Order: sequence, then C-alpha cells, then structure tokens
Amino acid sequence: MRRYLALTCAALVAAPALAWAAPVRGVVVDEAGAPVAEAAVVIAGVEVTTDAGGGFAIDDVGAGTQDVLVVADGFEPLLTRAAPGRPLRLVLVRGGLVNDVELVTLEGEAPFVDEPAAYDLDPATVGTVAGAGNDALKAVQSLPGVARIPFGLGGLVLRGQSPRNSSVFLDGIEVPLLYHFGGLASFIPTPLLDGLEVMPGTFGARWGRTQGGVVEVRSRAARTDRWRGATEISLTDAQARGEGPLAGGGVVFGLRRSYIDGILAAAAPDLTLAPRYADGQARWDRGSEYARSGRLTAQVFGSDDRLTFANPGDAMDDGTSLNYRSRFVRAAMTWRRVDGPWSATVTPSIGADEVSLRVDGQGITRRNVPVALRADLERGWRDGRLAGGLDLVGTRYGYDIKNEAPRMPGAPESDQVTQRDGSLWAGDLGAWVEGFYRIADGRLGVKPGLRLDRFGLSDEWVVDPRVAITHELPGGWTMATAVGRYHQPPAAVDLDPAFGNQDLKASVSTQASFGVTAPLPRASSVAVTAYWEQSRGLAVDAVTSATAQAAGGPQGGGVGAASRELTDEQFGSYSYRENTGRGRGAGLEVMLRKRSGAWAGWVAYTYARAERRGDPRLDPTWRPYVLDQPHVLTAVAAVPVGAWQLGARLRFASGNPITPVAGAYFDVDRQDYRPVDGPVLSERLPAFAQLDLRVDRTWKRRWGVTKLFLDVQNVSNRVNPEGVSYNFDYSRRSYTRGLPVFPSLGVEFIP
Amino acid sequence: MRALVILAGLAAAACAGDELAPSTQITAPRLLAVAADPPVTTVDGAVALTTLVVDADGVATAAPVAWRACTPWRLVRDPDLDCAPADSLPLAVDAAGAARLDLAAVRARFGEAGAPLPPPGDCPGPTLAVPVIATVTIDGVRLVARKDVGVAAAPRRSPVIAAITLDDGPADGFAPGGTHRLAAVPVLDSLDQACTDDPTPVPVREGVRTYFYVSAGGLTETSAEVSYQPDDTAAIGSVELTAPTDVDRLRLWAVMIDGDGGVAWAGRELRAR
Repeated sequence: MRRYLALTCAALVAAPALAWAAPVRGVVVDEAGAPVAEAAVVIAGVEVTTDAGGGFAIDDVGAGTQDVLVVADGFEPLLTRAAPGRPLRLVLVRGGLVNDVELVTLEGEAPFVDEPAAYDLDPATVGTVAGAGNDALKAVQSLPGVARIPFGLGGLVLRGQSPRNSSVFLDGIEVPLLYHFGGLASFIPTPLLDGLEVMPGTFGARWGRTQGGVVEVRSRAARTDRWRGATEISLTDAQARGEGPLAGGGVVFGLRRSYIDGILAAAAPDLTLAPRYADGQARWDRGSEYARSGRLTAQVFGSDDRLTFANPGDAMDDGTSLNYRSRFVRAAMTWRRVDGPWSATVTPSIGADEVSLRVDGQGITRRNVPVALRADLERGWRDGRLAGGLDLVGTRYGYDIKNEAPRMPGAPESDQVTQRDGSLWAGDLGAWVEGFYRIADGRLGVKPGLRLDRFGLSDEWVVDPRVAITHELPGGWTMATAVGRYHQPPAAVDLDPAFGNQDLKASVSTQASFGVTAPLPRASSVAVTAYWEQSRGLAVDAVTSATAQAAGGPQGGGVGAASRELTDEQFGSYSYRENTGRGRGAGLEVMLRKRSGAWAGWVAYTYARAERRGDPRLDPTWRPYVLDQPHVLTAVAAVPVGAWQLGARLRFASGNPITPVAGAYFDVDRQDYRPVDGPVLSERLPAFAQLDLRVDRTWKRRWGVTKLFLDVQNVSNRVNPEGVSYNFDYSRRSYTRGLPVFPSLGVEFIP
Repeated sequence: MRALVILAGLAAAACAGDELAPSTQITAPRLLAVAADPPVTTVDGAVALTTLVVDADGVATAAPVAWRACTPWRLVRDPDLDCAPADSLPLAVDAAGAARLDLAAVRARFGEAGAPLPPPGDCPGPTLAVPVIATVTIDGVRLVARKDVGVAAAPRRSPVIAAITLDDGPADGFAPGGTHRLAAVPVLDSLDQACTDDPTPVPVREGVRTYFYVSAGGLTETSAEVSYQPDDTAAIGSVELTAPTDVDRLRLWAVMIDGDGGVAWAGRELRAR
C-alpha cells in the first residue's frame, strides 16, 4: 500500500525563526543500533537522505531547537526536537504498517486566525484525556472558560452563562443535548468525530439564537478503501462501529448502549436509580465538493436516555415512582459544492425531541418537531472572503404538564394539581452576512458580521452586529479582539397561555473579548483571553426571584441549584417569568499547551466572575450566579512509556455559592422545622480538587489492533463537597459528597 | 416544580453526607408542641396557649416562654424578621405559664390598616389564622415555634388522647432490642365533624395524626394516622419502635394533631421488661 506523508512547511516553521550556528550531523539507527539507510530526514524544511551507514548532514539551517522528522520504510515515523551542538542519534522503531513511503512536501501559509478565543480540539488526542472516560466531548470540560458541573453532570456552562444559553451543533445541525443523562457520555462516540471547536463567546454571525457559547462538532466521513468494523466494551456501555464503500460513496455508522441498568437490576439493590442510554449515528457521503455535482451527505443520529428505578415496582419510601426519558433524532442531507472562489452548502434537516419527567404521574413532557434549513454561500478572494446565509427553523412545540400550578404574581400559593397541554407552530428566521478582509500587508484581519433574526414564539425581529479583528504580530504572535450582540428567544413552555407569560421576549447579551496567542519553545503555545459580558432581559421567575430559600430553593445554591439549571435547559422553569433579570460577567482565560514531543497536554486556568440580578422592584441586589467559580485550574498531560501511554488530569475549582441557613423555627401544626435563610448566596462550598489517571495500551497485530484503557476518576477518593444538607432542625450541617473513585475500563478491537 | 425538586434531591441524597439523628429522637432540648384552646376561635374570642418543652432526656420542663402574636396580613417566613417584637403583639402569661390571645386585641393592634377581619366562611373551618410565636431558652438553646390560631364562625375543639398503646396493649414496658407497634387512640367524642366542601356531605369524624418522640431506641416513621368511617369505625395506624438495648428506660411523647390545628399530648416512661 502506497502511503503518503504530507508535510506542511508552515507547521515546521511555526517555531520562532532562528538560525543554526553550525551544520547538523547525525546518524539514524534502529532499536538494535543497526544503521538505517535511505531514511528521509527533515529539519527546518530541509530534506536529506541517510547514506549506507545511516549518516546524514544538513547545512544552512537555523539556530535553536528545531523539529526533526525521520521517515523510513518499515519503521514508524519519528518526530522529535533537537538542539544544535552535538551529533544527533535518531532511533527508529519498527512498524509493520508503514511501507513504500513517499515524502511529499507542501508549501503554504498557516491559516489566518479569524476566530477569537476558539479552542480547536483533535478528538483522537483529547479522547484520551484522563478523567474523560474516552469521550472527546467530555474533555471539553477541561478547557478554559468552562465551569465545573457538580457530580460531573452533563451540560456546559460557558463563561458563566446558564447551560440553556449555549448551543451545540453537529455538522451545522443543532443538537438538543450534548451529554447523556448525568454526563455519563456524550451523544456521539469519539471515533466518529473529525473535530470539535469550542467558542465560549464572541462567535461570528454564522450562529444565532444563542446568547452564551457555541460548540461545533464535526463528524467524519467514512473511509472507503474497504469495509472495516470496531467494537468497544467498557464498564458502562458497549459500542459497535462500521464503515466502508456503499452506493458509490462511503458509509460510517455506530451504535452504543449502556448496560448499567441491567447490572443493577440483576444485583437487586434496595433502591437505585438506573440510567440507561443509547445512541446511534450513520453518515453516507458521495462525490466530491470539487466535482460539478458536488458532495452529497446524508446523516441520521439520535439518542435515547431513560432513568427509572432499578427494578420495576420499586419505589421510594413514601411510595414515589420516578420516570425520566430524553430522546431525540435528527435526519439531514447536506450538499456542498466548491467552484473556484465560490462555495455553497445547503443542509435541510428534520428532527423529533421528547423530554419527559414524571414523579408519581405528575410532571412535564415536552415534544418538539424541528424542521430546519441552513444555506451558506461564500466567495473568497486573495485577501478575504464574503459569506452569507440563511438559518431557518420551523418547530412544532408540544408540552403536557400535570403538576401543582406555579404561583402567579399577587395570587396565594396553591397545591392544586392542574393538567395543561399546549401545542403551537413557530418559525424562526435567521439571515446573516459576514465578511473577512486582510489589510496592512495581510497582517490585520477584520471580520464584520451582521445577523438578522425573527423569533416566531415571541414575534419579534432582532439585529445582532458582530465584529472581530485579528492582528498577526512578529514571531507568530496573534492578537484578537471581538465585540458582538447575541439574542436568544424564550422557551415555548414559558409562553404558556395559562401559566406562562405570552409577552415574554428574547434576552440579549453584549460581549467583548481580547486575546493574545503566542508560540513558545518546545512546540508549546500560550493563549490569554480577557472577556466581558452583560445580559439584559433574562427571564426571571416573577414571584420567587427575590425569595431566598436556603435549603434547596431557587437561590439556595449548591447541587440543587445546579440541577435546576440543567433541568431548566431541558424543560424550562414552568413558572411565570418576566424579562426583568440582568446578568454580567468578566474573566481571564489562560491556555498553555504543548502539542508534541515526549509528552503533550495543557494547563487551563480561568478567573471568572458571573452575577445575576432578578426583578429590581423586588430585590435590586446583584448576587453570584449559582455556578460562579472564580478559579478553575485544569492540568492535563499524557506521556508514552514504551508501549503504554500514561495520562493524568488535575483539577481545582472554587466551590459553588450557597445560601446558608441562619436558623430555624418549629412549625407546630406541621410538626416540622422551617429554615430561616442567611444572606442569599453569601457563602461557598469548600473548593473542589480531583486527580484522574489513565493508562492506555495498544497491541498491533496482523489481524488487527486492540486498545485497552483504564481511566480512573478521583484516584485518591477525595471527598469533594457538592452540596449542603442539614439535620431535621437545621442545627447541624453536613456536606453532600461528590463522586468517589470511579474507574472506567474499556477495550476496543479494530480488525 | 415538585418533580424537579425531587430529582435534585435524589441526586443529593444519593451521595449524602454523615448520618444525622432523626427528628423522632430526643437528644437535645426540644419544643415539641404548642396547644391553643380552642384551636379555632371566633372573631371576638380568646385562646389559651400552652407548650410542651422537654430537656435532652425527654423530661418535660416548665421553662418560661415568651409569646407574641403576628399580623394576620403578612406572610411570616422568618419570625425574627417578619414578626419582630416591635411589630408584634406581646401576650401576657398567667401563673400557670399559659398565654392568652385575645382576638379583639389582635384587631386593635393590626386591624386598622384598611384590612378588617373578613367574614368567616360557611364551612366551620378556619379561613383566617393568627400566627403566634413562642420563644424559650433552655440549657442555653434558644427554641422558636410558630402556631397558627384559626378564626371561623364557630370554635373547634382539640382532641383528647384516650390511650397510648404498645402492641395493642398498655404502654408499660419494652423488650430490649425488640420491635413494638406504637399507636395513640383519641377520645371519640373529643373529635369534631370533618370539614368538607361537599354540598351533600356525609357526616364523619375528623381524623388525627400522632407524632411520636422517644429519648432512646428508634422509630421507623415519624407519625401514624387515625381515620374514621361515617359509622365511627376507626382505622388506627401505628409506627414501629425498635427498643434500645443500652438503657433500661425511655421516655416517650405522643403529640396528636387534628385537621384544624387542635393539639393534645401525652407522655410515658417505659421500662425494660
């Protein structure tokens, strides 16, 4: 099999351009010390071939530490770093999969960075981050700007925005849920991903109906040279994947199902909540985007989560039964065509969502059917491009609520259970235009954008201007500034004619960011970003926004408040809300990253503050957001040791705010103690700290590849407080403990 | 929303912290009950208020109690904030330690803000309640309790405890480490007719719920209910007592509450057999 290695010279010259003080000489040998002849050695873009004795010499290269690439038939490619001064001895490892290698050198410029503070992740790399359970999308939680969720539950808190204010897209199709229930796994397995990009804020006009951040996930196309399959079995789930040529193109598919519910049911525990999740994906591609007919892609993906008691018939002590289900499916076709400077992409899609939570038959069920169309057109020039598009979605919103009616302003509390159901169609129209121009000898990039949206639910038009300016500085430094406005429509449940507020409008966030990225020695880089954000028109419970309930109320803080934020993302709040809330946030994100060499990893630190204010008529005080974490530090590293790879992740985060209980009184008619709140969100839980370790081993044989991984979260079994609980009279406090040591063991087989 | 609160609570309970003593166990001074006689009075009536305060051993004490009545027109969530002494009506205490709540005085103190007491409803059940706060300090521990006194067209009565039974017999002793059924039976004639909105009601006695507290051992539940059929047939619920093995006596209190806030209590000292 002929295999090509393509090198981009720009990648090799990314390090600071310095000059070697003297010619470089060295020898290439194998593991036994025997010389390797006719090996290709590349240093600073200069290529030479070793002689019969494995020796080589290179003149006229720059000084300082440089990347060194060595490629030879029958050996694994070697990429390392070397400094001048001594002859090099480069040792190659035999690898049976590399033969007839031809080295191809490409010249080009590194792409101009035009997105501020976006974190691009390679799934193959981040999927092996310790503590992520072999899930690239869970590794997102280790990035700057991402707050820590208690218990590792799902949902993303980007730059202090509520999870409902951020959106996830797979190939341009909005995904209602990023993680399976409880954050056990993301909705798509890592091997099916091509890449993912996290934009915690100040993103461009291409994305809308979101006032927080955006996660763009890209699936990969199938390899079509032959059919191949793979299976992966872990402690919690099993998955099977396949790909190969089909109908003139290629198809890749995957299926996954957890089995923790079956294990728990067989063990017959006294009372256990058993999560069960399943997901499936399929993607078929045909043609090339450069051909006249373009490239056609058809894909379907879905997810199904269910949470119930381990054994049917089990119930809580007071007879409560619980059933939760969340599932969605999306089907889409994408046509893409590139013709010279023009490119066009059209993606119609249709989907169905259902989210249901029932306790003793009471609760809420939400069913949506979105029909969407994205169409983008772009024209490029030497020094820029102009793009525009449509982003349309029509949704049938349906919900069925059976619960105690929410309290309305001016009305007394009522425990009467009411049944409500509603359905309506609403269409959202988005149109955007975005330009990109390079000026000042190509070192300055300006990207103005404008987005026009019409929100059908709230019947309003909004305009969001956005602009980003990036400046390429000497030495590979980049400076990026962005400002923008971002509107988000209200949720359908919040507009219910009986219990909601039909006058509810969109909320809006104004954001700004300034960042600097710089290369460092030894294939490292550092990115520092400062941001500021201010939100208006947040939908706030009109009755309780200023009512603090220490022991688990809306502003009580701790795990209760975090859970409420996550359930709000799925169900809405089921309360009467008004656009009287405001939010503000600011922070500093630092990402120090090492990309290659003996070890790789990153250190992410975020200092961030996020605050909220409810209805000023009731309470004008600004208070910390319930997931405000001033300090979040994550250090991730992985190093190969022989045939093994060891990985570690260390996390530290400030504790979430809580409202303490200042006292209590005995309600004699109920024979129960009632807590008396202290100052709202005035204290913090103790800080969170956790060490995760990971071990990988790969065996390559003629009949296939076997990968084994062991991922252990919280190896020290540290007790991390996630919430507060009190005794019956609130005279004693104890902490709700977070996850204990949690191993995840898996094996993957690829024939 | 209840479902969401339960879901959040389950997440917290799944990884709960240290074991904390249950509310049924008396391990510190406690204010277990406040009785209003009558529990529901008329707009011109008066009410006598008494308390059941026990020390850490479960022995009733006669510690001095400070009483104050709060305005009926505002929600009282925090007694110290929403019913501060300066905004309340202090109640006088007689020699026996009982406080007196005079509804006329309540109207005079709070009823001049353009909100006179509304006319009582047709159903002889409370349509208005006056919050009363009782504060007592015992062994350095400050205890605060709230009792709502109902106001209606006619007064209602408090239940009377006829007997506390252990395994359907008199509650006189326990088997160390053994399991016993504990119940409380009201005097039938002390129970008023249950209030209902049914336009053609079938007369039936109101039910009661009894809360149990022990100084040693453990209880499986906090309370048991007694309900009645129209022919006065009673369904008497019970709780399960796991008797202690480390002490030879325990003090038991039963606090019985009816549907209108009527309260009665009785105590027993049980010895190991």
